[in-house]
Amino acid sequence: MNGKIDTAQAAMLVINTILPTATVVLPVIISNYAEQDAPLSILLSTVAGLIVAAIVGTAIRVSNGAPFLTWVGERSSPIVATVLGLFMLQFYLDTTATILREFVNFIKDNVLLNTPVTVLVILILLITIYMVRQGIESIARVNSIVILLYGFFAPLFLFGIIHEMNVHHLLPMFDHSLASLTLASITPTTWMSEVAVLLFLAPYLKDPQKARIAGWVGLLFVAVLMLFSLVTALMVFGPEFIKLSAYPGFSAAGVVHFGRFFEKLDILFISYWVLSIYLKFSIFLFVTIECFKQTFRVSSSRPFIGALGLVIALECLFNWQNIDKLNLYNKEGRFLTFFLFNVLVPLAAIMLHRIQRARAKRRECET
Amino acid sequence: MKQRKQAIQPESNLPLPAGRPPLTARKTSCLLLCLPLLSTLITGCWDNRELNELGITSGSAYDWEDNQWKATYQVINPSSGASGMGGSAGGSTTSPPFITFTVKGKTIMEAIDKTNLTSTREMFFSHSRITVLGEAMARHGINQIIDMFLRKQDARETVFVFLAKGEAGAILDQLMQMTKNQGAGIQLMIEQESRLVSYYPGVRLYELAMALSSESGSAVLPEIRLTGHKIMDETTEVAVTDLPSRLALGKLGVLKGEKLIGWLTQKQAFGLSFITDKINKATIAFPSHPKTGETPDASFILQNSSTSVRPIWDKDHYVMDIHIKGSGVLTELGSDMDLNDRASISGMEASIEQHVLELVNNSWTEVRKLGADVTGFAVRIHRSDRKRWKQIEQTKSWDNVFRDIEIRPHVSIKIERTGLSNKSFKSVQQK
Amino acid sequence: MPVHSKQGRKHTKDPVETVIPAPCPLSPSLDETLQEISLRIGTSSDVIIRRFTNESLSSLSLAFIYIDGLVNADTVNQTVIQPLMEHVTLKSDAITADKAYALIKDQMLPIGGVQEGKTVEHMLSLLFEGYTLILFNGLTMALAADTSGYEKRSVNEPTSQGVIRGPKEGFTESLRVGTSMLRRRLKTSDLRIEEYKIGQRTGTGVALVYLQGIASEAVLAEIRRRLDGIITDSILESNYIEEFIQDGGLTPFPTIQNTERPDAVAGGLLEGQVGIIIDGTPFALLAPSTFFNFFQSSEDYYQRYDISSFLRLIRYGAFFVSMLLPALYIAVTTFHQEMLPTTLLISLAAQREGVPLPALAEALLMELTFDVLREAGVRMPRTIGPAISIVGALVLGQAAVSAGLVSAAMVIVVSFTAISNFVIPSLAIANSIRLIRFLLMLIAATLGLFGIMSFLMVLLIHLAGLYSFGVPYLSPVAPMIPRYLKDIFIRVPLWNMPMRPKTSLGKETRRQGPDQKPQSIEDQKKKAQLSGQQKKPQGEDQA
Repeated sequence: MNGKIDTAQAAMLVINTILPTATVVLPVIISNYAEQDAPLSILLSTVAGLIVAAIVGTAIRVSNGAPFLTWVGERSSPIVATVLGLFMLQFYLDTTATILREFVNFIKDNVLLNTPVTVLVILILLITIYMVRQGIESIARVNSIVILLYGFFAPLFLFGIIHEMNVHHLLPMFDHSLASLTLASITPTTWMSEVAVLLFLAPYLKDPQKARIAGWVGLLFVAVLMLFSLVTALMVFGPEFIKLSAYPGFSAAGVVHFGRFFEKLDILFISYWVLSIYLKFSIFLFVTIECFKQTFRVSSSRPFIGALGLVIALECLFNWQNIDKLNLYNKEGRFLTFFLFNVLVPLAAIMLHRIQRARAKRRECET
Repeated sequence: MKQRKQAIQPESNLPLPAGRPPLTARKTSCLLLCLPLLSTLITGCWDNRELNELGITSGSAYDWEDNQWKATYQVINPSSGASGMGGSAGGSTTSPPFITFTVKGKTIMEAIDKTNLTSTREMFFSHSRITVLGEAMARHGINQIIDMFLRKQDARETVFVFLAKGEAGAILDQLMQMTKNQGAGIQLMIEQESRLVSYYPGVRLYELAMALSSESGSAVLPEIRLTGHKIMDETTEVAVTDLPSRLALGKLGVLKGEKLIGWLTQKQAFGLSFITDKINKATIAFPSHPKTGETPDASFILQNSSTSVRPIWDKDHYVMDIHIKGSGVLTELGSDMDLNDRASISGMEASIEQHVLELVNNSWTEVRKLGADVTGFAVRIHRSDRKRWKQIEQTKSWDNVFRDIEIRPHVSIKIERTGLSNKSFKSVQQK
Repeated sequence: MPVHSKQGRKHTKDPVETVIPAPCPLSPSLDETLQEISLRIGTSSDVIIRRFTNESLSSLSLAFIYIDGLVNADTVNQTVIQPLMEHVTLKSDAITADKAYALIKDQMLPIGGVQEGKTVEHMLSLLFEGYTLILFNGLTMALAADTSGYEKRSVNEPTSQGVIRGPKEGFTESLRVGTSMLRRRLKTSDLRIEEYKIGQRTGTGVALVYLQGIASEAVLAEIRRRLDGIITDSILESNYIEEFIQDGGLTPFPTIQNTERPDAVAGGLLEGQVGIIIDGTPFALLAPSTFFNFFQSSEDYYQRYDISSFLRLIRYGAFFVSMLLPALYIAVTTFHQEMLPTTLLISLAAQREGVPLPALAEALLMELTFDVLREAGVRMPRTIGPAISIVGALVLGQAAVSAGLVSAAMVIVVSFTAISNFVIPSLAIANSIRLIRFLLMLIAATLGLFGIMSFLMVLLIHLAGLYSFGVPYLSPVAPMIPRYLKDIFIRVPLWNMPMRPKTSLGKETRRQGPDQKPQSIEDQKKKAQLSGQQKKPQGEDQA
């Protein structure tokens, strides 16, 4: 059912793993701390993300694309793997549910004000389940098409907004202390660390040795695109106004106009965004199911996709109902959990591998 | 001829990647194709609004009356063919191109919703072009309106904002000639004005919000007014060539914080445009022989102009170094002059410079008197001198600092071309 | 022509019993054989049985059987009956059946196709192909002489896929004519034609044509396997084959192309596709076909590359318009009115004043009306054709608008959608989006642009998961293979495409020499000079 994906496709997957919700959630959080220096904190978090990608890439390299939890199970004990799997499953379920919630919130705020959340959640979930059933290869293919569309939408955006931009809004640079920049870059770092989904995509990589490169390339593109969206929003609105706006990137799109004829085109950009978040959600659903598969060592995940989807839908509908809860989690709780699962877990796996190898070598030397 | 053996071989998986159990693929694709159908059946249409259920507002006006919000909406009447320059969609020409609703409420949204008590259509704000704020309301404070515009999903933050002395709602009743959609007409007016004349900047709502939330905390808004006393609100009344009362741009209102604190005259507004680098194109009337007479007898079209402002800390106060550079074409000359002579050109240039300088100084005096930083000096200072700005911000002494600011305008204007004739007509006539 | 009878369907349900009856050998007695044959055929008036008996000796008794209408009567008379009847040896008494058989087979039939047969079934199947059977008394073998010559349509211009520049001949219903047209275009020993007989009752000849070395072996093996797997009683048109062998059971998208044009098939073969020509229909199949193949017209290569690139882009545009325009119109006018320019919005609103139906119903009504008109146009006798267009255009279009039933904008939208649909060169894919359009309109009316995007996502992922004989349906765009993109959205000049621009290929991927760009005399001189300076002998070679 699942074919293999090559490195370029993996890099593109990384882009859409991070970007869609990042463009929606991050600008407000970052600019609250860093104002016009927001681009700097993006750069800072990119560096952090590159390190995470390196760790994850190394973990994939040493396991050579074996299913992560199975590999951990072989290296330590099956119990450890199962316990770790359960935690990670919980983590991915949560993350996927928050993505769904962010998706639905955005749609509710911007497009469909009166449509019930439940309907949206069910529709999105059904579509995403279909996507996941088509396999990661199909997802990767569609993903590459959607990414290519940036080549159309980004210039369109830029062209329509160029008259409204004022470079001076970016001044003064370096106005904020390193402390506040770091503070501002914490949240984006958690987003960048989502590159860790590669850990579970590893079995589907054509070339697991190059996972690190895929992660890096993907992250760099994410950084460029994030900078693009942030800088344009900043140049149009200035730092103060951005804090005010819930979705600055899309408010900027609302200002886009071509002559006096085409105005208020934000819906066009939202439509494109919808495509990309579908992909993000499907990637995470896929990873969640992969995690489930590896934890419970089931050979086929098909019967469970629906069930897990239902869990995610329920969690999204009832657990993340409050926006303030979600915001709080995004701002504070998220970093901890993401650091734990996206950085420490693969790091620990590498350490485990190293120690075992060293021990094996020593034993070899002794004998 | 080959006799093919007819082996019974079910159509099944291949070694090629097509391999997928066809039954499940079928089931899923079937399910998915039915999905949109299902969703239509089960659900309704929540956000669906037909075009003929919408009251498309082209402009809105807000007044503050008896401690209540009074909102006026101009709703386009589509069947009158109000699609711009005399649409051809048919319909009776006697019906007005738009109708207005005036409602009162404790909050703005309450007022808007009250419209539904009298209107057959749901108000739809996305196509609003202008919003006019009454003077009373502007003095009361406009934060709530800005917030509403930014928060409400269908409100455009790109509407142009105007002030009106007296009642703002009355402006929206006025019919325009040549343009049936009055809101769009006023937008055209201000856009054209700032493109060709540059007295007033066209201020859009997000720009207003940006200006008010910036370091300066002040903004300007152009005034829209009626030239006469009578409101032309009957379609039969506008069927004359010279309307007794038209819409026009008047003064420039100055807002500080969220309140209107004063007005700048047209001349002062022009000066301010020079300081804030808002000049796109402008016509300047100036005396061609400043020594012999002060009456302007020549005009000059300023085609390019750029202003750079540099703050300098001078012991205890700021000095703003304002450099205005411009170039353009001479378009009118009433005196005796030979334009081949370099000296006469530079004489005129000096005269224009002097004129601009006066404008700027005049404007600055008034702005300083009002104490509202509509010049954007605070932003400049923040950008160039961060440390001192932090001090100012902490001590909240910007108002005092602003009052102490001294400006040093330097103007350099260049007459690049003199048009199609080399000599003034007057000089030819005398010979 | 065989018709679907209930009997026939029953047979297909129970293939094992009826499909492979035990072969019945020819009886040595001519009478018995004839009896057996007439039992099989029944008393059909077009079966002509002529006995030929040597009266002096009863040992040599012959019979000719042929079907009137399938054979060329002149050929039968002149090359089969006449020589046999007039030949002296046959009239002699001494001749035995064995000798006569050998004599006739080796010397007396001035015909290319002579076959021997031992079973009744074999002889009958030859009979139905227009052979004349020669049965011998006392032998369990029989001869069949190819005398086929039935009435067939002459080669005409293809009606469904016309071109301005390019060959004007199309396939006819005859399989042989079809293969001959390909032979004429591809004079290479690599052209292979494998013939199948599919359908127990129709016995339709199906020819698998490909170019050895250019077509991918894996694809060929797969197509052969699928063709062998077809068990049905009838193949009347290429669509029968298509439905039996195409990938992805229930997809609305075609994964096999069909064409009436021999040049299109030849072009496909040269790019590694495999052609399937079916007797009895002028429509041949080409597989594997990706999504983008359906937007390539053979005329693309007969016109200059710049205009064909432009036309191809227009086709993609038309595809999206045809699929999305009504849905977008509904979504924009009922959900996202803010994105319309104000003046347009007002005139749309003015048109909708007084229209009783909601936009969705209006659109569905008009789209259905158009589909009815279109179907009527196809079914109508030619002479009444113009009436349809008058009724359709005037009555339904103009009158509906002036009666206030639908808005003028909707009529524009529907007609533009309809016209766009005809721009797509392949009717197969144009038809598939005709249905998708309705689904899109429904979801657009429910969820607006978000719904449209969601549906597009489903479509995209569906397409991305689709294969045509092992070739990803969206290749070479997804998965992206940049070097094959030269003939997808644009068509680069032919000299710039040295490799075959398809993803499924055999070994021979190169199709023309390097440096095929036309060079002016100056260029050549310069080149000669350059190479002359560097290497003398090579420069001479080039000159």
